[in-house]
Amino acid sequence: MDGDARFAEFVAERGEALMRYGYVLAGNPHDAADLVQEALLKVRAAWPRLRSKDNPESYARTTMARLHIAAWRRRRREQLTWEPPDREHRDALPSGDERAMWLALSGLPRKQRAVLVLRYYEQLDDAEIAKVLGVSRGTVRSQASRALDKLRAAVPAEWSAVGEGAR
Amino acid sequence: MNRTPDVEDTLRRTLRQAAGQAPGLPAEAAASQVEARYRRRRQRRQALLAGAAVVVIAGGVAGGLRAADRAADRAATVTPDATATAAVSPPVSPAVSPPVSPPVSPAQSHAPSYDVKPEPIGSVWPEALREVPAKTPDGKKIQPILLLDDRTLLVSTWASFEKTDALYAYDLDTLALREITHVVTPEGTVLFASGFDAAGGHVAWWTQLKDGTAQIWAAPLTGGEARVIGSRELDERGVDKVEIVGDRVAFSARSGGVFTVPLGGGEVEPVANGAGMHLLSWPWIGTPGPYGAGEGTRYGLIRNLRTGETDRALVRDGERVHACGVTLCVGSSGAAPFHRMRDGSQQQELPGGMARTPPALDRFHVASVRYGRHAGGVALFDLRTGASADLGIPSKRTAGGFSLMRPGFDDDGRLLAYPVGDTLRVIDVTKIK
Repeated sequence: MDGDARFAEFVAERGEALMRYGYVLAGNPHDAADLVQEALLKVRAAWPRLRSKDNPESYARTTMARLHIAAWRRRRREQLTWEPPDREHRDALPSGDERAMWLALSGLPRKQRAVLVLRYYEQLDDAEIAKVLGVSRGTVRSQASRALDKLRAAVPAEWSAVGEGAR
Repeated sequence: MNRTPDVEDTLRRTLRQAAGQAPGLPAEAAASQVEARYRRRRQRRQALLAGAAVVVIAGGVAGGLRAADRAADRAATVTPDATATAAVSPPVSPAVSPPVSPPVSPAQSHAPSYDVKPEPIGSVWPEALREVPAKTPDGKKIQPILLLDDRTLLVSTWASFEKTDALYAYDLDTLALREITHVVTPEGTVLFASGFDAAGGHVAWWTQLKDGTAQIWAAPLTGGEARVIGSRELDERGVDKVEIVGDRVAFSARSGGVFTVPLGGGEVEPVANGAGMHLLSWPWIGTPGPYGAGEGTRYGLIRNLRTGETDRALVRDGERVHACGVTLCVGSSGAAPFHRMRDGSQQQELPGGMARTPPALDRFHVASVRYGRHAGGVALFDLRTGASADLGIPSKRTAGGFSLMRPGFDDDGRLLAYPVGDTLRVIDVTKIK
């Protein structure tokens, strides 16, 4: 099987998982799709090396996290060529505290959000997060603690009122 | 409801829930579109390189001979390479674009047409360039070695030619020089300290005594006494590479043979399957080594000590492949120099004449080039985007052409550092996005 076919296979197998990750990182479907596309392009370019030495999925995930915090969209030259299918998001997060949390997440700086996603969605420890983002462990800790403080403030105990009110 | 859920708990739940609502990925379309976009980028780059007039400079060129491949391994995991270029498309040169092309952004006009001098590095990649004093306050010349982190350069000073007497951490922000250790040169040393590597809080290097004993040294980066951590009798050619790998130091002999010794000191042990081989970039070893007689492709055969995987670089009839790294090879077919994957795929023209080392980080290449008819210089090329920059290295006219000093990358493939007058130019290519 040649490299192209294996790459296509990789996309078929892991594409959805990357989209899920992109979605929690970026917070909206369009940026998620862009992140995945850029990451896949990079994976494709490095494919011969990745296939033999590294794990393409972890490479893609690292790339996505870094792209996300690098405010990379400003540099983008080529436009998205596939459109993610539109889904109805109104019912996506039906319960109040999760909705409030999701909204609060969108108010975080990119790096803080990335740290939280890596810690609570990817379940990486701080050393691993530091490696993925190319920052120090101290930065990871301080970003996480600042982000959690903000979330605590934004998603108070009386979450349901906030959640409904935000709608 | 009155429940007061822990914020971390809610966060976990929210992220999981949200992920489940992510849009789907039309996998087939996605794969084929990525494939198409990837090919377009490549073709554009090839067109650029093919359209460029490449002139080989005659005259003396001093080149770095170091393998720039360790970086390939390290960069994949620790340097911010992943942010590097995914979002940047290659520059489009009007000369080779199709007749109806989209407007070209002025910021992207530094296409590699080598008869025109590229813009200086300071304007092409200002983020990658630092300029610091090239001498210590007491007037000693600073010898750059490698980057310890984003702002700290490991440097040495020499007591006499190539005889290192001290190592320093040079803070590129504050310009402070912090002494790491004195480098002692014991009586009877014939090959002075060289092959410095830093990792895991230590710096290591080798020296060799008159009787053929190679000594491996280490010192803590935080500062402290340097000590011999192991020795081994080798032939008079010495060691070709030292690399700190976890809590051991790996090294290989120029005459062949890979060994390790504990960083804390102890017995030097030969590596299984390392006989006759040379350390390329742990866990890769290979042959022939970098200081061979010039026969065959350097690192044409490589072996992964961890997995046992071996790989022999492809060499077709009628072409010469000079050297390979873990990923790429450089060579020439007729007069046309190229770089390509070890298996011969993805071959592309290499700017600036024959090269002896594969591109740094699989991406960057330094070459001496002729600018027009009467000037020469040294340029840094980003092979991925086609961008290039002049390094500002003066050339001297000689009878046969030009003479200039061409800096080489450090072993990590990350650092280019060279003096221009009283200034040391420090280029960290991992900063190039």
